Amino acid sequence: MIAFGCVALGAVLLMLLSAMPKVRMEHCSLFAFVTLLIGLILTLASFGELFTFFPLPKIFHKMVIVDSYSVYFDAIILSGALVTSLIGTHYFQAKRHFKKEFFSLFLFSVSGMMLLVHASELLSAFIALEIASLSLYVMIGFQKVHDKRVEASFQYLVLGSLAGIFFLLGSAFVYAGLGTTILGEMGNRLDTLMGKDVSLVTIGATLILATFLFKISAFPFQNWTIDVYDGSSLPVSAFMAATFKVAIFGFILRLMLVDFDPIRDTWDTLFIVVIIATLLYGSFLAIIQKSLKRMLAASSIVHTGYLLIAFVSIGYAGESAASSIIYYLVAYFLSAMGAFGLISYIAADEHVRVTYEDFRGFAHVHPYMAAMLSVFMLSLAGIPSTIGFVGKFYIFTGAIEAGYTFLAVCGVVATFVSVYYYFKLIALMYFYPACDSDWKDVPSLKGITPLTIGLIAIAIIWGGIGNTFIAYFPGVDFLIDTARLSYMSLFIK
Amino acid sequence: MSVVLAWIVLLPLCSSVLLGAMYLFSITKRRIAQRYFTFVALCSPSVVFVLGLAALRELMLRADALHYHAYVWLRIGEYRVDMGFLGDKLSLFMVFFITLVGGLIHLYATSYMNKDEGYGKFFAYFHLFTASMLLLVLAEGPLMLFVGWEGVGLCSYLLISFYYHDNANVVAGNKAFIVNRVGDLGFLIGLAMLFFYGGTYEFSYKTLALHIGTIPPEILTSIAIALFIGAMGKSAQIPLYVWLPDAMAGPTPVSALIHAATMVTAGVYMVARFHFLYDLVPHVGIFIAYIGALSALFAALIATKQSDIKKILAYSTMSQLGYMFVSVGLGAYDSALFHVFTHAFFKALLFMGAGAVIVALHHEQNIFKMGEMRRVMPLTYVTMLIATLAISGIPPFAGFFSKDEILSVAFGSGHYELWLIGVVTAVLTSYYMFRLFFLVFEGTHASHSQARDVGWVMKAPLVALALGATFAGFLGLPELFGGNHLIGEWLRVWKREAFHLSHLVEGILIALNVGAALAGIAIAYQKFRFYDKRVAYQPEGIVYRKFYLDELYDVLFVRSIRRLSRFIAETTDKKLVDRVVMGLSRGFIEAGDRIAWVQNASVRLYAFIMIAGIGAASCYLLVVLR
Amino acid sequence: MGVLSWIIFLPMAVAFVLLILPVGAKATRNGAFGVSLVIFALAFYVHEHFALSAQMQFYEQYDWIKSYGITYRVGVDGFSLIVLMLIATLLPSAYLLLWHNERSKSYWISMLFIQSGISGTLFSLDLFLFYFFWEAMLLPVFMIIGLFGSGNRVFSTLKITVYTIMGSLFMFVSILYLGVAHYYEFGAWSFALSDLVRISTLTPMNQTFLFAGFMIAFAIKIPLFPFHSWLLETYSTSPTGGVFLLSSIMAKLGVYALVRFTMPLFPDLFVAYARFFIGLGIFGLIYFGVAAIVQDNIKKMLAYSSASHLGLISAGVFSLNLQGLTGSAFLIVAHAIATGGLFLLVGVMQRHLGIRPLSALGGIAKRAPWFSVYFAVMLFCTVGIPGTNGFVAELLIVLGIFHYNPYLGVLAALTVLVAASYMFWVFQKAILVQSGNDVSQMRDLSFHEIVGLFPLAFLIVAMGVYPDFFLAKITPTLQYYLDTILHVGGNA
Repeated sequence: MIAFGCVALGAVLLMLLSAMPKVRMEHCSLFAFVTLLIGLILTLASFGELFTFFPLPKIFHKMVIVDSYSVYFDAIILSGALVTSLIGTHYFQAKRHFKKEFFSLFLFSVSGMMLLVHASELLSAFIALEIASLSLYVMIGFQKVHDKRVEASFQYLVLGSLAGIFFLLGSAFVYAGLGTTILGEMGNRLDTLMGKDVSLVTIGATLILATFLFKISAFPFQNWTIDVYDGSSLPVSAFMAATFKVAIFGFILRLMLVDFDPIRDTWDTLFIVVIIATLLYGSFLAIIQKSLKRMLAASSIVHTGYLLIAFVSIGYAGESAASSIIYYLVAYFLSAMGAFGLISYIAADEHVRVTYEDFRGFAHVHPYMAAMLSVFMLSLAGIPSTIGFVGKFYIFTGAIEAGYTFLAVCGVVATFVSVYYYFKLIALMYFYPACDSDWKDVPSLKGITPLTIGLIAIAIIWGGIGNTFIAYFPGVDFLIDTARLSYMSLFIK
Repeated sequence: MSVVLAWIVLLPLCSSVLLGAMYLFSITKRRIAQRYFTFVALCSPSVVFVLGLAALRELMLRADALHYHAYVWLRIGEYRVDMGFLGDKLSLFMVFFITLVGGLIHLYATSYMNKDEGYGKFFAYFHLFTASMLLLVLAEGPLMLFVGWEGVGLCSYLLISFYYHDNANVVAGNKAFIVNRVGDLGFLIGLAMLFFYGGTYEFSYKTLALHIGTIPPEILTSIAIALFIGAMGKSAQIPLYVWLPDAMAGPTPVSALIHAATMVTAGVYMVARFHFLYDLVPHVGIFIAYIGALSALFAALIATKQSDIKKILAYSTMSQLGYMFVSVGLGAYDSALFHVFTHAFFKALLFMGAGAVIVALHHEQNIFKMGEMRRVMPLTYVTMLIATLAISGIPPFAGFFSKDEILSVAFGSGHYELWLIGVVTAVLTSYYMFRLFFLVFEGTHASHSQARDVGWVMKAPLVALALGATFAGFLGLPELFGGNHLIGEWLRVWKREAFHLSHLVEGILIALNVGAALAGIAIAYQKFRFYDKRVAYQPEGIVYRKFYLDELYDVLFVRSIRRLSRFIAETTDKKLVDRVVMGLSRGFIEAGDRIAWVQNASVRLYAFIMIAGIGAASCYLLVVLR
Repeated sequence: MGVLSWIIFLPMAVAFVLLILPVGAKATRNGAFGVSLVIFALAFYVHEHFALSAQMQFYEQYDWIKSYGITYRVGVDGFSLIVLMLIATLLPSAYLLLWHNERSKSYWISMLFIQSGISGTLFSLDLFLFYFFWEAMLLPVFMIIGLFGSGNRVFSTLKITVYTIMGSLFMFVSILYLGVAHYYEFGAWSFALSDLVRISTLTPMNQTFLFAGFMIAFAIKIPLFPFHSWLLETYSTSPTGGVFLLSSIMAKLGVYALVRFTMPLFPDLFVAYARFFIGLGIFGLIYFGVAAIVQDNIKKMLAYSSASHLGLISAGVFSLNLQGLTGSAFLIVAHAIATGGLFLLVGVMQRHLGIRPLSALGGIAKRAPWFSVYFAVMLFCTVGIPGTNGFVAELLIVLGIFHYNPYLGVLAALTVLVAASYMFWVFQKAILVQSGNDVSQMRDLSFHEIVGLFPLAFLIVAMGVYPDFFLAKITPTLQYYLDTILHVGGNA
């Protein structure tokens, strides 16, 4: 919670600072970076312990909660934001049109996400969601020169608000049904109501769910994804794809696990349909894309599908499924962050369109970047020795454990379709002679950004093969255990 | 002492490897003079011959057969296959004439292949062949026999396509190998059945003979037939004979050794070796006898019209083998082996004489382009005459005794039609052989000019074999002439039942056979003795075309299989299997393109879809909650 | 770290070192060759210290991912031993043959990685570990074919990758299902083979599905009949090294895994479907064999031929008796040596003459005697001439299938015809007969190529003349499979 405060404060400060003329872009980005870093450190201080409490109950009553679960997500969100700002630095400096306010907006959305995972009450959750979203709308459309941007932001704004309405409507229903919107208590009330008619709650919960399905771009709310990702500048899309998704799941998991647990099975069929549709639709779109950015956007839909598989299997294999979601979020966050980041780094100059064809023979000009990009692709495709593989392993295992072998098979099918469009890039990069003319303006490997990306790549490999051979170093097991821990913290009464 | 058996096989093998190495060295690094090759090439067979004699003597001294067990070849569960050698009367008898005739042919070949660039290679193959052939006859179990069996097939392939730069030779070699393989297929199936039904802890003739009784009769029949299919291939019997005439593409010594004296008789040997099996299934024996008789007649018929000297000899070989199979089929294995023995001499002699003529005429093989060779090469003339008389069955030459014995067996067995076919074939045989003889050595106005006689190295083996062809028969002199039928005694075991004919009948039969032979000679004489070489010979007619069977086989098997193959490779694989796979992936991508129209960045549409989604969800809830 | 782990990780480690060090292609190649020699030494050590029993030996086990009971556990038994010896012998020879072929660093790096992957797949006794190597092995192959291939290489690379990954993903699901089943039955996570075989709760229905999952993966890798359509493109476009690995090692690993995992996991189904798979194998034997006859591209011809032999191998595996199993194990070796050798020789030929159709070859024997001699030896082994190990193997398989069912045995015996029908034709057209084509660029094998091929030729003959010596160490294991795992007794 202190971390949240620090970030929020930082956002406000930065907004004020950025009005001063003598403060330059560099300072702002540095400030944002420092703020996030402090926040992360503060978070990690209480990382990996099992605890839960309501901060300042006098003021907030039970609107916000602090437990190992939320701290876990804080950590992911903050590091995500941190990485974004790191890989963004080069980009932002290359692009003159970014104003200083950008960074304060950035911090605002981060704080909104953090608040979301801490939210323990529907309305506060909604507020948090809107804080995050609104600042994102602006960030997307930040660059006026480009009407693509404006269009994307407009689209996201309209559809997002439309989705937001469902949330409010839903919470109204729920309140009508249960007389409270506080998370813990909703669950208890629901338990007492068991056997009676809870259709109000069900409808409300369904509507709330719809909002989140929209935010994580699941079928049928996925259409905006490709256009918006494509429209927004790369670091922002990375931020959305990786970090925002994490936050959303952070809250929805809490909601589902703690409160709507009794009525969850009503949705099973619904979910199965949604999952299959999402996987199919995502694969269909991803396989035909020409531009890498759009492909990644489309594939993010597929990954949502995987996550939903785990989500639906929570009911029957609660612990492993939930922790598998958390683990997969980390895996996806790393891979996507790396991919978007690297591409944004390569395509710092907007004139370079990032289509598959542009990467023809890239490996022969920039071997290291190509290697990193391949690592990210492999991880996204879930090839062994990457973290993506382990993530998929947990998800499918959870699904089978819950008896959804059928869904696991669907996921597998989607996976080997994805192998095609991920490997296509690798093939293009390596198997064609270099046409070096295109890559004159690719910056050389210097500065903080490539370093970060390299670290991500290493982390991905480590997450894939990391094990107990080398003692005292957090490997796969560590991530899983902490994920389990945070999951447990949800049920401390 | 019995280790000598192993050496009989091993020695030629080593010398073959040595020769091969020398050859490779001499063509890649530095030339090795021909005499070194000659030395090795002649040493090894002579030593082997001596060893063979030694083994023979050993066998005579003791009662039981020689056994040498080298090592366990294969051990599967409780089954065991030994690399073992068995030197009983039959095998050592075979070894004796193989090494004898083989040695002579080696000597002959040193001069025939003289100055040939592949000299070393030739003898490497030759020795490899000898080794395999000896393994074939000395093996103590069917599996080792099969090893030798396929080995000789391989060598025959190598030697037929010896001059491999010429396509025809290689094609002939392939043909020989593949057709033999068809036979081997049958043989292998036979082995598998034998192994399955009769196999015990070890897989040798001895144990098989002990357990043969336990095999149900119908299985026995199929085993016997399957094994005989192998014999058909090796010994060029109907219907697997087609390779033999083409096999004459190889150098003449090859034809003499492999395709006349030794390898082609492997089938006969095999049946004799499995006598314990064939004794139990006489009806299969009859079948074999008929196949043999038909092959004999058929080949003799074709031979009467051919013009290539070696092809004629090839068909005569096939026909003689037919005789042998008649005999083995009727259970008189000893008579068959007797004929194998004599045949080895006169047929090798014929081929070598033919080879001499061919060399003398600078590789001319058409007998109608020859003639009056008697003046050029008198010695060859004499030897050839002896051989021709021998094969036609004129007393006292070797062929007479053996062939007569077979015919009397056929008569005595009561299958008179077999006997009749035999006699008819005898007429044809003497006819086409003397046709050949007259055309080559007699005739008038031969056009060839600078024909010159061959050297002594080539003539010496001719003489030696001529002696053999003359006197070999006396080893099997029947009682009728006061002989004691040596070979018959020696191979007593290999006789199912003795057919007793009164001396009177036997005499009549002999008279008939000789008469038949003379008749054939007479026709040939008046047709070809004074044949005028200037009139060109236009061969025609179905007989000359070998009854169009080659063409038939070509259409039936070669073409149809190639067509099938093309069908599989181009239609089934590309158009069916692969198209399904690729079709799936393409279909997926196309579907992607189809649904991409939704993705047209129109906010209204998106919003509509969302609402529709919610609507659908609500409907679902309505269903669930009611 | 036991010796097996050394065999697995040494090439990988060396590869990383060489990758980082600024060394050229030559140094890398020498390094790779050195490593392969070391591996051979280690493998030989294993062979020498291998006790004559059916048990897993040189067993190692470490925890990997505790939370799911995933362990790193490796070991060898008689069957993996013979494959190990095969690989350890083949690779140095292959390197000697490829000495001049690809002058690129990444080529040899990939080779090293592949070597690691192969050994890992061979030794792993934990299904998760096995899958890990099985998939990871694919990447370097992908690289080699894509980078150094010819023709439409990118397409074929993508095709084989997606195709094989599809197969192995189905296997992946099966593995996970087994893991979960184990968790539900025994309350603890484990993916170790020795644990998974104890699962008893699977319904026949599930078993069939899981079995299918495994079989698809292996059928694609081997390849069995309908799953072979990646074969032609890949073999004809990939470079010598790649096609060598695919044909003589990867495919064999498919068969190996089939025996190692499918047999103990689903013994009943293994027995129940034996007839079907023998039929499929024999069908493949004939189908591919016939298809090979008209191929004008020698690599495609060899591709079909190896597919045909693999059909026979898998048929032998399913013949459920010692002859068949032993024969398959033997043919795995024989065919790996022969086909590998042939592909390497073809590679040499293509280096000199460029890629040519058969119809543009001929008269090579005159120019390159050593080449032709080796070619002939490999060819005889492929055809199964007595005195070569190919003969022993095919004989045993035919006997084995005959034991299973005489009629199928008769069909299987056709193998003596099938290979001969195309092999000799190719030998005639490409090597022997002098056609007008200009082959003046053809050179004979260089010294180290001769040296490199010698062990292979020697093995072919030695294993053909004295097979028992080579079978001694594997028969107990195979017997064990039959008696203890399949309960079908030694020799039916």
